Amino acid sequence: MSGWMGQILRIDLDNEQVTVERLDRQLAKDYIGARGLGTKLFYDEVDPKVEPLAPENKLIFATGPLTGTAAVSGSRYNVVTKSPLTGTIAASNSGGYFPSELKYAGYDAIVFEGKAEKPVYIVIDDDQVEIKSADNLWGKTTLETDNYLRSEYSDKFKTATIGPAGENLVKFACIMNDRERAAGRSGVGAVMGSKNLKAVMVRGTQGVQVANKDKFKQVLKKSLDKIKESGVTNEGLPALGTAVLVNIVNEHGNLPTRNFQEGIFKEAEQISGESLADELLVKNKACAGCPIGCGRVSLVPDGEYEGFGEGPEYETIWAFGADCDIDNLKAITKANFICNELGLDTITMGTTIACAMEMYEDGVLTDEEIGLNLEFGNAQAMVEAVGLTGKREGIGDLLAEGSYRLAERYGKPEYSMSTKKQEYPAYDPRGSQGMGLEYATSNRGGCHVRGYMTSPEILGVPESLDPFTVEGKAEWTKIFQDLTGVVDASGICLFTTFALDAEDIYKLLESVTGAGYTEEEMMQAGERIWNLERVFNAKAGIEPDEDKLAKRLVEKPMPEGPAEGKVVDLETMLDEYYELRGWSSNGEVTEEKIAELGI
Amino acid sequence: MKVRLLATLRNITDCKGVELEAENLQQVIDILIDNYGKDMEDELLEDGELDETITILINGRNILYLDGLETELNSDDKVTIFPQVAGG
Repeated sequence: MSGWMGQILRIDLDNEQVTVERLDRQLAKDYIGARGLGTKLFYDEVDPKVEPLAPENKLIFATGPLTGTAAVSGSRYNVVTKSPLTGTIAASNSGGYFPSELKYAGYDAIVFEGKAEKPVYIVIDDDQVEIKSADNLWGKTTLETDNYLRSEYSDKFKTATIGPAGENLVKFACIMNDRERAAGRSGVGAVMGSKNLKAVMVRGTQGVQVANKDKFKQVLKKSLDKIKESGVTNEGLPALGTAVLVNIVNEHGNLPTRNFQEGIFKEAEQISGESLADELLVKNKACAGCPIGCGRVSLVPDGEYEGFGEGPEYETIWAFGADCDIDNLKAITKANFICNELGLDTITMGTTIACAMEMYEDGVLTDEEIGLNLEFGNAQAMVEAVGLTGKREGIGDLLAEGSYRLAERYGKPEYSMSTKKQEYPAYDPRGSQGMGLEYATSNRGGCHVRGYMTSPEILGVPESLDPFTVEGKAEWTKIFQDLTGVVDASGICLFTTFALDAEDIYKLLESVTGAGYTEEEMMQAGERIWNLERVFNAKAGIEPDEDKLAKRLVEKPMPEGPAEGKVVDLETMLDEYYELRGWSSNGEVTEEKIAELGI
Repeated sequence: MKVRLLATLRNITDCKGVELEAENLQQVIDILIDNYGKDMEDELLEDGELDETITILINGRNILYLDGLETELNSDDKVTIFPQVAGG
């Protein structure tokens, strides 16, 4: 096969059995890879009602056909499982070098099943696979684990590991690969921890076959030219990272502040990408084969927030910053470093603290109960809360459940800024209506990277849409969601779409795989992935009435700024969206749609 | 009025923004180019027209949904200008 390696590695942790299976060619074409292939394998094998942290849940690492090729930013993999945070399908995406190495070892995907009796790690060295005791690694941070494994073996191995947060089943624990790249959202690290699986290390010596090398060279050159010509991918992201958005979203009045109570953070400049570049940035860092290099390496040289590592990026700065009313960039950066070491999703961590801060402000949480002064703006308490959460100590044990369960525990779920129990990222949809539809309909709950409507509504890419109107937003959201499915499944980075369009991606995919796609078939694969996720969620008990937003966003008008007086007109967009999707008027995937897509 | 400059535009101005007097956006553009020369002109204009990759906000609202460069300005308005960027 070209693009795909043609093999799936299955590791049964109950019986310590390792098997290799052939990848079905038609399945690969229909679901492409990574998020799509992983979801299809998962759907076919796992009862949707499975308890996410039970041994019967499975954990799938899946690459795409462009992963490990020279295709621009072809560095990605997805971790697919049932989420302990949301109860929905989880597909968490990460770059770095580990995903490509997995391809070079000969595998498109690994399926982990069962639960090891004691902590283990896996060593994959091409076709040699070993399951080793991780007794001495349990309790170690992600960086300590990576240091140990690569010193014991070789720097040529790439690692994916959980930290104490995954071991402690924190519901938003992530999996860190290549030290500080994160499969961040939805708690995939907790599922790995529930299996007593501490780490996976991989080394490979094979290449990825390309079906049409001449064609691939042509389309690759054109793609790289577009990346170089785009101000976004050639200037903005390399110079300022994703945090370039702090000032821009704030100027639009859409930077959620104090747990989405407001949309303007008056101290945004102090936590902006511009300030990060001036004050803490050491260098940029790129994933495998990426000409953009949006990653940040930062240093806080001394003081109480001293530290060195990767980040912070935009969502992280916002979650620990504006959302918690904190303007101390060093404290925010420190919180990011602790999350990386303990293996925590920075978005859910920051927003859960912000939720707790509002509950504290309103007297729902008290000093005596939580042992921490969690008033808005308290940077020290915020940083301390992160550490406590990874270890499930004190208030951290409550925060480890995420904002929804925290707020619900006190009978006040309205404090949680989430959909399907996953917290929203850094855009207030009252000033970006399409983003509201995206949050409400995302198959993994509150999320910006399933259909990034901020791009047209705020950033004018690929064209500008009025952020305050709802006309046409359902169609844009559907197209973005389906195309994102394709991008995620192919194994390239979503950021390439700031410069490349669907046709470019199609040409990359077809020249590498030679699978005989038409562009229409490729887009239909994206739609298939979206619908399959939706069907899984329905079988898991996540009904269409969960396509909703936090009450604050649909009932309470934005108090000030450019979007003053606005709420999200979700109902109007949702009706149109269901119709465009070909679903029933109440949002159920119809038998006709299932048949049409061949699910 | 206050004119805020974001992202890589600051490489030209070496400051976060300027205060100036203007009746409309065209005047703002002209003043910025007068003050910062060819580098600013190259960033803001394409064949003498506002480069479509440049976003201008007045009090947080994109001028595409106001009256474009003809939008009238008051002395207490805030103008924000930035090149095409993205992230997330």
